[in-house]
Amino acid sequence: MLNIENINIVAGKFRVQNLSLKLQEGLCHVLVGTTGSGKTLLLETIAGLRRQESGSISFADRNISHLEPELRNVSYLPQDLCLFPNMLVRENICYGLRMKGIGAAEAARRLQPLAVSLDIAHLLDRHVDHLSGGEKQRTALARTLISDNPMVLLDEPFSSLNLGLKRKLWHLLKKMQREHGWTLLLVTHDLEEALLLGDDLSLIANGALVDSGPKNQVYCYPKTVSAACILGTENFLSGEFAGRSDGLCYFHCPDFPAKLAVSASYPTLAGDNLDKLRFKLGIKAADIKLCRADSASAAGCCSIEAIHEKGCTATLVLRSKNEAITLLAEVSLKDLVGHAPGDEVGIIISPEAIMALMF
Amino acid sequence: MTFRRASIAVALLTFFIYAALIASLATFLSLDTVQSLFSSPRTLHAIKTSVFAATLVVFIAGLIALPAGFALSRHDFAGKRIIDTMLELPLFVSPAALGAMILIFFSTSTGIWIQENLQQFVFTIYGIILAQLVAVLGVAVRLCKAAFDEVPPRYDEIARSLGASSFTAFRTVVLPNARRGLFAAAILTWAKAMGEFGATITVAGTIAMRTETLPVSIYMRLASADIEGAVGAIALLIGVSLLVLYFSRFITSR
Repeated sequence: MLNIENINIVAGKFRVQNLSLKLQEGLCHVLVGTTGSGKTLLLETIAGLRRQESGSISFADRNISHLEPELRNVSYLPQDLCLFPNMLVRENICYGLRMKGIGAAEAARRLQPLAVSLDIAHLLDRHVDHLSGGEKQRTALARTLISDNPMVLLDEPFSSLNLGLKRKLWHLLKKMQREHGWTLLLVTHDLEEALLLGDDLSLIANGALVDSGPKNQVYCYPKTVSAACILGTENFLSGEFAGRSDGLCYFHCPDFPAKLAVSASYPTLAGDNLDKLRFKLGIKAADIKLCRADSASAAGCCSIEAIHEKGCTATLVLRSKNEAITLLAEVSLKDLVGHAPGDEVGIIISPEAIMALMF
Repeated sequence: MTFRRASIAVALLTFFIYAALIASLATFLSLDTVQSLFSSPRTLHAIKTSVFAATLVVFIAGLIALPAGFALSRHDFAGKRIIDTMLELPLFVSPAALGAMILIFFSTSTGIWIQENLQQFVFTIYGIILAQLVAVLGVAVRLCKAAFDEVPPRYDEIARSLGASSFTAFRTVVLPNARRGLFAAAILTWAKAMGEFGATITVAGTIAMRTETLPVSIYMRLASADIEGAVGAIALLIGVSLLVLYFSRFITSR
């Protein structure tokens, strides 16, 4: 198990403050955060490339906080890849094995299947300067994985790959991680990648951990506005608790003249005295459905300000009737037939789709 | 476009200044002069002394400049700024002053002890080597630092995360990636040592067939009104230097 306790890291004016995180052995932990939130800084500190000001890092009950990088047995794939230009692809991949004193025969035995899986077997004798971005990324990934260290840190390992290859490699990485029993800490901005690869999910913003836990819990029930923001929630409405009945909590939204119902089982709505707490209601664009403006089931009424089509779906910019708030909705083109900018529409939001967020 | 033309014109002017100076040598240069120059044991000795001293200086300066340049490129430490400034000392203090400083050092009790018990430097070939080393070391360290600056420190870090010790990372990743810059540094250091005059003559004197390098030979020939001999030696020095510089440019541009 990797145990990070109360770690403080300083990089110029930026600080990672009192961050604690536990990674279960043999599982994949995904770290998602906004740009400049300290994800890379944390990974570099675990790898030993930066020193923490305070706090400790231990792996498999061994304190590695003050060990030199080469003594940590941690594989690290940096975001900038850092392939060595003086070496061939083959030499780059096998560099870590060479440093461990592993012979050429064993290195070749490990290299061949890995290179085939990553589709770089035909590139092994090329110079890294002659590779495309995606080929470089796969070479760097191979260099990281071939060492078979028990702890693997990957900083956006698939960012330069096309979607098809990316999906293929997600499954390969998952398979290898399970077979080798690696404890994996992966940084990504891609939520699909995070949810597919991760067992646990942590959210980070401004150098502090926002939420951490099993991926479904963290993804489906964000507790704060910053967690919902990181998870891609587009719409936020101020909400005043107005009462509870029939398994639903009702919120009055002054910005958007409507009363919205939220499932009472949402984790932040468990206690009493909800009227003394401040809430924001988070709604994903994909969870807003359109209906007729005069429909009885409409939660509120909006006018369509703009329609941006993208393939089979379209993003709608909706403005509330009092013009106080703009919402984004993602609907299929089929549901959009007969609507045009300027039209008035009703919106329907399921109580299960609304997040009650504290701030 | 006008500025482009003007800047190119200035670049050409720079070339013509040196070209005119080199061309003017032809006035006194004849085939006989060249032949007598190459058949003169004194000239051959001066070439041998210059090449030997400059080559040895490059090796000694390299042993110091490689680790020092790496430390200045990669690490922050107390006194770094002072060292960095000191490296420019040979650039703003005249070579004669550097040579005088060496002579003064050998007049101190430590210097006298070194000369009496370890090695005689003043008026010997060791004096030439020491004078050239002092004159070029700062530049050599600065050039090595510039070569290491071209290699991102991330390479060292990632090599270490892959299991390399700091020295192995330096040897296997940093050094090979800085090789062009380091090679250019070696060539420029060699060229500067070859042309060094002020410090050399101050420390080693002008003893024919003993401490006579090519620049010293030019000076001695001019002093004895042997214009043709001086021109021949100048042409020789220019020829060797241009050949080496052109070769180094060719190698580093590949």
